[in-house]
Amino acid sequence: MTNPSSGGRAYEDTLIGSFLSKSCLPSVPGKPFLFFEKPKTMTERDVEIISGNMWQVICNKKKQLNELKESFRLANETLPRTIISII
Amino acid sequence: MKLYQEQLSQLFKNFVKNADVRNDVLKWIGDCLSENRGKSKKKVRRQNLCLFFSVGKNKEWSSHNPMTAYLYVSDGFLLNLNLVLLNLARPFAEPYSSKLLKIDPIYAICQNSHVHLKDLSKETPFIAREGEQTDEKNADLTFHFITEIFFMAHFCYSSSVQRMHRTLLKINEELSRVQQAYNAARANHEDATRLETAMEKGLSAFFNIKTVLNEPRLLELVNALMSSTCSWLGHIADAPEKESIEPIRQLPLKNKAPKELSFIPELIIENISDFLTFLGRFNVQLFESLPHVNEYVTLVLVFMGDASRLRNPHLRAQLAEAFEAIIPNKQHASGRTLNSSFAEMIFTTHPLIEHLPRVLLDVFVSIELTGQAVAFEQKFNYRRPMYEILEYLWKFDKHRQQVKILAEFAEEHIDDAEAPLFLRFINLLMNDANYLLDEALSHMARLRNNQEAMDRGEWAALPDQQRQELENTFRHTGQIARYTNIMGLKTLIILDMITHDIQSIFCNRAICERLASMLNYFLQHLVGPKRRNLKVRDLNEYQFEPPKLVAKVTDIYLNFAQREEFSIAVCNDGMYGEINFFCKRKKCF
Repeated sequence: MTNPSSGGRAYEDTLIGSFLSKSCLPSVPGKPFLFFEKPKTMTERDVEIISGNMWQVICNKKKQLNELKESFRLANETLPRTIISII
Repeated sequence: MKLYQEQLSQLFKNFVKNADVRNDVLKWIGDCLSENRGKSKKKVRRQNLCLFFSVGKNKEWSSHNPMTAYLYVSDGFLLNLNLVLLNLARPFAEPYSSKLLKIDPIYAICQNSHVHLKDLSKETPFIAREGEQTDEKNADLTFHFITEIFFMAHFCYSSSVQRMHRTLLKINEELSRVQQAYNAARANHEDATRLETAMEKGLSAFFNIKTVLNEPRLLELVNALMSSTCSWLGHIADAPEKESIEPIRQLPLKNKAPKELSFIPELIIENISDFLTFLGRFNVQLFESLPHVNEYVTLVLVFMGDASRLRNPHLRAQLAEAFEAIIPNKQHASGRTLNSSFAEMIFTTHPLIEHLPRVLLDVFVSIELTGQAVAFEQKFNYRRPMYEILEYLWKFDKHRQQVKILAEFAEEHIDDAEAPLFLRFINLLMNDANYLLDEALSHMARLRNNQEAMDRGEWAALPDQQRQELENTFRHTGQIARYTNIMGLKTLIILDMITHDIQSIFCNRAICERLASMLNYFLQHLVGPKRRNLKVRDLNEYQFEPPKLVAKVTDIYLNFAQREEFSIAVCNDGMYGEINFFCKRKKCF
């Protein structure tokens, strides 16, 4: 596992960093937020519903991540340092 | 999001199970956190640019700032990393768990190769270190996984959640400024459209960030870490050599502050304050169901009034702000209010709550002692939550009784070389009242002069730039006037509340003369001939309420109705003789 030497931002470009970067919040400046598009017209109930949706949204990635997790587990048990160093 | 984050945490758990890999993973996390620490430093924040709003001074919008974005990882990244660390901390994050004993405070200053979080040693500790602790810094110590994860989780919280909370507050401030600008610019269609778009974007950012920070699993994990940290800090502050962590049973702590407190970074207590303040602002209903509230209260009672265990008065004032979050009957940002039985339960049943009045007065006077370090305006911002707590605790007989005991002690030791706590407190309270009301009156008089100049058309005749400058100054004066009016009245309310139950110490000659002179002075300005100078349009906008001020001043007079010393002091004061003033005062009585 090599650590980037070119500053904080470079950690996003590592394999682990790419998983950590997945978020409901924009990662790039100027990019719009994903939720609450027209907040001025929303009722309190709308805000509650959207909040609930927001907390659920990344569940869709569960399957994909499960597979990855399994491959890491195998790597961890069988080829610890060799494979992990690629990360 | 919850499941994704759990999977992510599981991934890291698999990594750290293998001893060979664990070291690499911890190094990766430690280096990543150190490299990205700059993101949450104030120096960088000030340089940030605000992309949503073209007005205002607050620029903490790092996730939208090109400069910051290219230097540091995103908010989402740090938040996910924080969740991973909080998940890794969960097995030991339980108040009074014996696993917490494995947390070694020396980790925070040690600089050997076994420490993966290199930058932690740069943080300011709770108390100053006595001399250079070279031995501890360079000792060839190894640290338990629990120690590393504990400090990393706190460090990461400080860089992610705490910073995003600040961002949320800045957006809130900006939104109210944009709203004002929008109201003023309605006549100009182009400006209004631009500001409306800015408002939509700002509101969208506000709701997105607020929702992310309110994610239930995140709050649950943070509460587990923070409440267990409270119990651990209590253990370290009291007797770190003990082999079990137990609730603190007696205050104030008698022993000398343990040196371990000179290792632990302030950011840990900042995180705890931040968490409580966040809940108070944005998720107050969670308080009522929050497990381990007593641990937070104990932490406040241990550290808020004890400069020997927490040197920084700002942090102790922040604890007061955090504690204020549990006071009921006030409007929170979420629009909800706390159930008053929850606060009542804490104020009546917490085993150490009788110490609240003492620690509260202690932190109140500490703010004054910080001299130049605390700007005047900031000092009053710190005082506001303290007034709220004081007002609430006054509802309880047992707390009023504690304050009376402090007052009696102060009266007995009034001539001591070191002024007693209650004496210092009332001294500052009178100073504050004097300053705030005086400032409020002079600002109101300035506003009146400005309004008159505008009415005479003097400003309209000026060149655009000069008129613009005068209008900006007028708005600024209005804001300060509003602030001093609110705080001035609040200070009088507190003074009335205290003097209603405690008069004896105020009848000491020197104090009595000061108080009488102050009350006479304000009454003279509020009801005497000079009151005309204070007549401005839109009194409500400036929260200037002369009837309430006069009522409070007269209430304080009446609190001393039976005290001859006070009556003499009032009559001896030079202002008392002014006949017009006297007559008018009769009316207002």
